[in-house]
Amino acid sequence: MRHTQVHQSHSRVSEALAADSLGVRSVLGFVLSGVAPLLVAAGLITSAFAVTGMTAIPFMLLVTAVMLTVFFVGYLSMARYVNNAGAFYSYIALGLGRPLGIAGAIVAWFGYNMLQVALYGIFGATIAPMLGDSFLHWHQPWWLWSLVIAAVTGLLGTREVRWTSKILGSLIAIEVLVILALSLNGLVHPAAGSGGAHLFTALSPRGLTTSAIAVCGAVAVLCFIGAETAPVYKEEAKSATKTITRATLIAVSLMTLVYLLAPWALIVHYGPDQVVDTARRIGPGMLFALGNGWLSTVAQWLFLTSTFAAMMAFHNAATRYTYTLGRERVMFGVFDKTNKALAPYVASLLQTAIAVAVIALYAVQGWDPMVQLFFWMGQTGGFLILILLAITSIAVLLFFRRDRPGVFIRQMPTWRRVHAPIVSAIGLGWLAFEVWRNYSALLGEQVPTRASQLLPGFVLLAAVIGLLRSAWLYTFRRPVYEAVARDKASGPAAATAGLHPATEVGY
Amino acid sequence: MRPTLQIPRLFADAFYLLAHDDVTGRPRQAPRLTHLSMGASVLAELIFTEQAFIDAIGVGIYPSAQPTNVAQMTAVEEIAAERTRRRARDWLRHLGPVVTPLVAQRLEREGYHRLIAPTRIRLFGPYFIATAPRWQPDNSAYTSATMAHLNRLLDAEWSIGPHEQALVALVYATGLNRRVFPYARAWAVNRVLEQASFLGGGLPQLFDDTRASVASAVAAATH
Repeated sequence: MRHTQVHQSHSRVSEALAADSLGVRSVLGFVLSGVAPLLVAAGLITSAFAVTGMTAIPFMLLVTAVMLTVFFVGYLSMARYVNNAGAFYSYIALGLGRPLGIAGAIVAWFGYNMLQVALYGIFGATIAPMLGDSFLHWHQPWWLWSLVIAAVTGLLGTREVRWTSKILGSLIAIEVLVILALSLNGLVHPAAGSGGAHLFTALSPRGLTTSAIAVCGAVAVLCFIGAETAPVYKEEAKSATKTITRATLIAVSLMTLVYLLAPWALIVHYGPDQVVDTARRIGPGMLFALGNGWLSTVAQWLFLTSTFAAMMAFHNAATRYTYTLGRERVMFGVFDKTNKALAPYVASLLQTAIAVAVIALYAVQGWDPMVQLFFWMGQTGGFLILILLAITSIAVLLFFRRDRPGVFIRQMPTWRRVHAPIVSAIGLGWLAFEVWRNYSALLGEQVPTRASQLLPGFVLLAAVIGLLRSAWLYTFRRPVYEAVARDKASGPAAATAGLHPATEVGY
Repeated sequence: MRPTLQIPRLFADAFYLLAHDDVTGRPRQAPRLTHLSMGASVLAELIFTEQAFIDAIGVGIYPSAQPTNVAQMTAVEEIAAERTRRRARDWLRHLGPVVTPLVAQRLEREGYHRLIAPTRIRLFGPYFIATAPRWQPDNSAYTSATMAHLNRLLDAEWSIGPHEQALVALVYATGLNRRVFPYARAWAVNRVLEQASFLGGGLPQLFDDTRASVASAVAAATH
């Protein structure tokens, strides 16, 4: 054996692993490929204007971005100690115990599934008139296009199709450029008669009420969903801490910049008095109308690719949850099957089946794909994720309340393990409570209906299912229960390792 | 050396046979997962042969380590050459692609496999398109013996040795169980996994790290 190798000045393994690892740009690319800037700018933000009747959307986006940044401080601090760090339930299980962790897992599963199926509504409702009015004159119902795109998403979800993610990534870069172009065009063409007087008043919090804060906050949180996925790439990154933290913060900053610009431009262009009416009248079209000619047409088609990118992202997020829950036997074990493309294909098929079933139900019942599928399901999914964010903050706080194997809390600044989680738990918890209280306003109802009473109940339903499942596992499948979200620094493995005589001597 | 209808003596050899199809010789899982699991199997082999151990700090090599073949020597040299101890997870990622062909060559020398020459298509000048080298079983009776033997042990609920316990635990950690033990009864498997969690040398840590690495690889895959 060549003993001289021991004394080399650099590590070959580090170099080899680093060459095969993801840097900040790569992780940022993965995170941003899961967000859909044009869908948010044209779909969600215009809906927020229409539903709330308020013009303080840019202000609330800024507040939410700050709140989420504070949340990410604690979230990313804990991520290094968590197996399966991309899933909220791992944090909740470690901080608040397995029963709540399993309940959180089911809530997250419901949430991501709702977000996924919501997008099929907006896709079908958008593409059907576009193809009908185009030179093709394809007049087909919305659900047909939704089923087609569900099949395509399901197919790509079981394949390793790198070109798809590359193309979607490139399209997202173009989307950002288009949003910037549209926004700048809107800013330089202010509302008639205003003379640009609204340039800065558009960013003020004027007119915000508690219910408007709740609605705007819920929509704003929905805008940033996707940024929490960076810790998924922890094991693949050059540095599990620095790379992931930087990528997440850069992603949130970029998203904030792009998302702020669009509503600002809309307010300046249409004027604070008209922007709400315009949003209620033409919806996403109000953003496209900031440009003219080809720019508007390109933006409309990019809106579809943006929606498709979001579908793929949520499909993969829901699939990952199903796979992990199957692997930990919280759900059926069959969901942990992977194929040669490293895709959990059974879990992916389940997501596709759910999407097809929901689209079929809406088609048969004749329900509105925009309001009852996209907006209701999307907002409810976002609400579920908002609750998970608040509970995760509490979990982070409790996780760092004492030393654990491999976790020495004194080595971590207090603001990261105590102050930031407390602030985000209070902020996000209050926001979640206000959304619950004002759910009817969130759905844009004049008077509360059955929908606004039932939809938030999905949180309770999912949580109860999770708690019952956890009780069942505790009673009948104790090893499975104890393996759920097991801390990587604890358990029998660490105990055994600790007993082993560490007589290692280097060569 | 001749192939055997028993479980091969070396741990990584046995695991290679489980991780690859007994007829075609192709990996049963995605290449990324196969590499991770083969890296884990070689680490387990070093632990069983008392050349390496895993503790809370990471993977270490005993000064008395005496590798007996190229695959072991490569792994031991790689680990020993590091100035600082690394986690098992890092070694799975690094060693997997390095040792997988070496283990295959070991099995080839023992008569289980033969090398299928890579297909090379000349493009122009010195440029080729070439397939990766692949090993194909000569006789599937030998390559399927390990799987059959373990299934029999699980089915008959016989007492099972540490070597077999570790094989079963690693199969479950890598998610190969649905292909390797499709009909195993849950409680029989749980009993073996429970026993495997008390194996020495840091093997349980290796199983946990393998499980986590596999989950992470699937979660971070781009689809």
